Amino acid sequence: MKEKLLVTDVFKALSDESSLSLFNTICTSCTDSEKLMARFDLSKRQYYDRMNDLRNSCLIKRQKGKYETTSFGHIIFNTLKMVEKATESHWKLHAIDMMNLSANGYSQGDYVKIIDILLDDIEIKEILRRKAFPADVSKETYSYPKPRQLVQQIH
Amino acid sequence: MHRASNSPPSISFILKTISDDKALTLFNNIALTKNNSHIPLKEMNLRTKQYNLRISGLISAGLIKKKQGQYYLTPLGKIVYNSNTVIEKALSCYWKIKAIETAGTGLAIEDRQLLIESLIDNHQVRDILLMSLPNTQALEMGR
Repeated sequence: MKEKLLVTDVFKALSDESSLSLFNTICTSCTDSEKLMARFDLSKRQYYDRMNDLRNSCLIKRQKGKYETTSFGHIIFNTLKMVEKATESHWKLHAIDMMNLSANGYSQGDYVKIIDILLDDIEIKEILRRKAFPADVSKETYSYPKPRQLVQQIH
Repeated sequence: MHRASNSPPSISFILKTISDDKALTLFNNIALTKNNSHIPLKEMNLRTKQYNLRISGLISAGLIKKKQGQYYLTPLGKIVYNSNTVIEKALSCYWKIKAIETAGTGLAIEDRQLLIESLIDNHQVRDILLMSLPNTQALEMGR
């Protein structure tokens, strides 16, 4: 392992389609080289190059002749699963984006409603609802009532 | 580095786009800077051509778009940015994760759970690690 592992090292190790498939297979079932090589149409050299990259990025480890994911690899697998879910809802996300772009009377409230209707995944919904992206703040805003305003509204 | 605009971007294509450290810095800048119409190229050690290449890569991967001369993250870009943040947080406590993994093999699940809860501050990283414990659901149900 490198002295300091960077995010880009992890992304590089997974940026190849076969490496990503190898990683996903190891994450879902701990398996040995023979089975992996038989499953993927890779030469020995291609296979070992990819496995070395995955090991050097601390995503997988070898134990008793079998490959399995590390705890860090498990974190990466989970975060990538969310990105995969997002790409699966590509057109829904595109529609949400188009709605957000057109300022034809849509409020932030409408935007949130559309997210709720179109998307199923709770985590993705939460990320998109968040106003933590400063670039979004400059857009027409839906301001959530402050606690004092809420109290006044109730009374 | 272009793909057909009507097909969804593949994960490997997205990762390839942001695996370049300057492209990733640019992507993070767009996510965090309020007025990013003037991203300092000199500070990033980028020439105009290099900058344009990275920007077009990010657009092609469906991570950013331009509106009124300003780049912003698309919904997919926001998901990828969030994932990147979680990975960075995991990397910042990498040795704790490694220690839990090494020490955890000889420990009972309850003790591993306790170790994760006491060592890992970030809730997203902690939740994923707790989820990875065998029989976590059975443990939850037993409570």
